[in-house]
Amino acid sequence: MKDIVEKLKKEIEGFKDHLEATPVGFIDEVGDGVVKIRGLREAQSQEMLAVKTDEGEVTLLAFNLEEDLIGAIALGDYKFIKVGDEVTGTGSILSIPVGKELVGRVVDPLGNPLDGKGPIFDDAEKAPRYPVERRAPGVLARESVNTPLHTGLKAIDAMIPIGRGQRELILGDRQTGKTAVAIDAILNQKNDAGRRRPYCIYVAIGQKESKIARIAALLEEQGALEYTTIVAAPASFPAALLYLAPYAGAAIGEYFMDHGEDALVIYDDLSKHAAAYREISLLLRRPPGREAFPGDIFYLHSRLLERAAKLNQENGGGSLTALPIIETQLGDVSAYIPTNVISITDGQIYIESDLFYQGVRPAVNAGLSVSRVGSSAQTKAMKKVAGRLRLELAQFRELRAFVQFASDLDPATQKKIKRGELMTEILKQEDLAPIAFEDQVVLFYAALNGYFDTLPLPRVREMEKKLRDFMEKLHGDLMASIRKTGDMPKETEEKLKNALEDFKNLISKD
Amino acid sequence: MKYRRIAVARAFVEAITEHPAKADHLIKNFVKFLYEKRLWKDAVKIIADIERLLLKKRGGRKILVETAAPLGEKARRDLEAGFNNTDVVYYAIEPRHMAGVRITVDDGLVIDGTLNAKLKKMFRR
Repeated sequence: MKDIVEKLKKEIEGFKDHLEATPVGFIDEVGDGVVKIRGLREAQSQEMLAVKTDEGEVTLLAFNLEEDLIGAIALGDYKFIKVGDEVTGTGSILSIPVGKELVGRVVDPLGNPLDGKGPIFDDAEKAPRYPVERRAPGVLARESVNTPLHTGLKAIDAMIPIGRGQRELILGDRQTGKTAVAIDAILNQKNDAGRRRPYCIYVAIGQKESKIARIAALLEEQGALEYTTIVAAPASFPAALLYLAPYAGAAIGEYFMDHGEDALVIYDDLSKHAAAYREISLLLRRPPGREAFPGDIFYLHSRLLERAAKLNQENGGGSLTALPIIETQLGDVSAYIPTNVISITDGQIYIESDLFYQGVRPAVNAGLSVSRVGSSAQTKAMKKVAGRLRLELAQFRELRAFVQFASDLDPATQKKIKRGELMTEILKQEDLAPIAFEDQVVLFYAALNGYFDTLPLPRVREMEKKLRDFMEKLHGDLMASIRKTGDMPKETEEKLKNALEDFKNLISKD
Repeated sequence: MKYRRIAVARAFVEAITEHPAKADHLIKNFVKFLYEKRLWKDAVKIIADIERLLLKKRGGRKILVETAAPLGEKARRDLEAGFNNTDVVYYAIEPRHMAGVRITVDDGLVIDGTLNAKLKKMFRR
């Protein structure tokens, strides 16, 4: 006790205090998570402010710098904030702690753990911090997309290839499998051997907590959480946190990109993000525009998606791939937010509800879906085998109307229709079952070169499985060679032809 | 149409500066205006804005001096000697400060020399 008193005495004796003038502000109005502050004339936009309430300090984010007031959004519990409470600036822009420690964790948009697994960082003070809002890498720091990012979905990897550093939009109506595509892309990263495994960040915006919990459990069960971080801003969170969630996800991804790694970030979904931003903007009395969204709604998404990049070797060669998701209403892709995001991204995967209900899953509409830069990242082997696929499916779509009169058609047309039906069947895939790219290459090669032509359609799925087993067990070296080189030179193709002949003979005996 | 508080305050300040002789009439009309435009609940804040704008026009500042105990005449005189003639000084008693003085200038700058603030700083260390 005496020691403590002595220590305190020394502290008090040695305490030097310099009086200084501190800029302050005072709460003028508060409500719905939005506050108006008088004073603090030197506050910056996006600066973190602290308001002293009777129940402790609450963090605010400066949003609107007006002539006489500052409009800010509360990042904590705003119920305790009263008119007249004192607000001080922190001088720092909103940032979150980042690092490999975040992998395998579920965090909120401010980097606080939500999974009950304890603190994330041993010393949170020393953890590197990345600003939530950050300028996208410049033109000179980038290089064009050149490495594939396989999703494990046949329809996507073959026809709408995605490259590392690309921004590919997934859009479609509710309950049509948009999240499933994104989750499969995460799961497939552990299948994609031979390439640097990207760190995945799944940003859940405005979703039900039960759905987020289900996704976290699923990723854990499938062993994908060991390279994935979930940034959760469920529907119960205030709009301010929903607005921040994708930027926090991007900041986590940027940490990996800056350290020469690859990262994949999924924004699920940006429609809810836009709605959260509209809510904040209307509360802050910003002028509403089309569909009541504020004027800067395009900039909101463009500055987020521009942060996805493939850095050149001088800058570490890392990449950040973005898969934003947009929910359409009754398939209307020409609505405000979908058209905005379509124009920002490097392509879109359009999931169509009609196809979904016809049993085509993933319900990718190959006609409306496009990847503007991914083909330059597609492996040579896939390019070689699947190059004809898009064309054959397009021809099939043209002729589909005549399917019911198939017997009256000429043999060439009949063949095209049959091949189209076969390919549609081949492209079907179950949820949570991504397929390694070398398996896809073999499958497409077999289908497009007529090895399955005699098969009745209901047996295609079964044969596909048999072929994969056959190739894995008896031709492992061939598969390893395709996986390793990503190419299929003449000699490999010959070996594959022989293997497929063997398989054909084998199944004909069944 | 809902008028912004600051716009209402600014209009009144301009009117009263241009026609000081009609001050009574202007104030009467202003009160009526606040009532009719349903701005009555914001009246206190609008009046505070008017006060601030008038002070600014005169080149003065609003100074709030908070102490734990009332200040004597001499202490007040000494303190006011540090401010400009155009400044308006308000005094408030705030027991939680315990000792010392806290000065707020124009609701935007604070010089906190209270014991409460010193103790908080010391414990933060």
